[in-house]
Amino acid sequence: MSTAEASLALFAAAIAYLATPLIARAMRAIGHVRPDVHKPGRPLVPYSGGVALYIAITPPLLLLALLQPSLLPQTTTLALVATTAFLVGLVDDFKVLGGLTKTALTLLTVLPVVAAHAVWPAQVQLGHPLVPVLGRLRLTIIYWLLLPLAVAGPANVVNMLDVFNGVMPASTLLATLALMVSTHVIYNDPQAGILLAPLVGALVGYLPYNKWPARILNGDSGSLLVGAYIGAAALLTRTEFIAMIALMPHILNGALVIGSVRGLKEHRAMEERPVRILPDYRLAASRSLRAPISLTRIILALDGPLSEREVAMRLVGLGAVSSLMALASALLVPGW
Amino acid sequence: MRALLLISALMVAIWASLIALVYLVEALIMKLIALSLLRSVLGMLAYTAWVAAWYFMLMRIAKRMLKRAPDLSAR
Repeated sequence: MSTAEASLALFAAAIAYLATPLIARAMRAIGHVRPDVHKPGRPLVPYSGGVALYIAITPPLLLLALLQPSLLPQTTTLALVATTAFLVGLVDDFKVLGGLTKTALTLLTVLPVVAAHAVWPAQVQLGHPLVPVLGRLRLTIIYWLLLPLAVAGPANVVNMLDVFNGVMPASTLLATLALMVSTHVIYNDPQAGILLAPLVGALVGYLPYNKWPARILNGDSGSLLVGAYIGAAALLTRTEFIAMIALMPHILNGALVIGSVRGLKEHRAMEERPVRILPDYRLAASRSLRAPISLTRIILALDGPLSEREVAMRLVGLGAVSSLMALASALLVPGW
Repeated sequence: MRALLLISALMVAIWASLIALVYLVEALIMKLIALSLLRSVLGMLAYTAWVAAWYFMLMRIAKRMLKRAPDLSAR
């Protein structure tokens, strides 16, 4: 990590660390709280921690644009993607949107990337992902067909695995770090990962408040923002393949849930839960044939019953494995 | 820790097969077929088949794993 990257990450971390308790207090004051259902007594916890993440990510991006004007196309794109995803999530936090509506709205998050490609084609190149063994691919049709999912996909799968205290910031922090190191490896440039530094910092500063027992819950404003940022940063650094590997637990979970409920459904609209809460507040896999299949349910079927913290540790462990695979993928990309 | 090991093994298998597929598509379809449209169609078919194969395999494996869930109602 270069000095510039470290400084930017530190700046974002400081903002997140200072802003999160203030946001939590403000959310509690306006009654924007949700029950933490996996804890005895279901305590009410401030919601929409995404506000703190957004506040932590935006100033470092603006600073980067000011200090390195050559990165203006990329920083503008990331700021617009982050803002779009954050606003969609915030609306959902306050006024629950249906599964289909939310997914359709998250598709809008790719528009700033497409617009930036149209305005700055030399700086924002699309259609040339870097892949292991082969290097730079030139994809003409398939890339553009899949592009709408390139930002909305990560946003939604990160959102779907945001089920236990600390899992979202910890697993995405590992994925973002893997992506950051990968860009250094691929481009052989200590500053290649600078676009990811604001997110790394924000997650580092925010994690202490969301880890078990959480003092603030992320809300969709947090998970959609983080997932969309990772997707957009991957497009801008041409590390789409590596990001996909880094987010593999999230993608597997998304595929399992969507496949088992046969479509996009808001979790509150699901008739049965994949997980049962036992009287001692340990978690067990549902045995119902109608309950959604999720990564958590499989973990509990194999190792359960477990405490919330034990399940969260396993999910983050899977994030660590996928992040290592992402790094291995980067090492397999031929010299750039 | 059984869950971590089993799901990690599954992820490694998916990752390795994807890298093999990327290589095979490039070596067999992109290099050997001259017609651009045919290359695109065959390439997309190969990736779609990979996704579909893993999806069905994953659902099957998941359902099998879920059958092992302990029946706590008997306790």
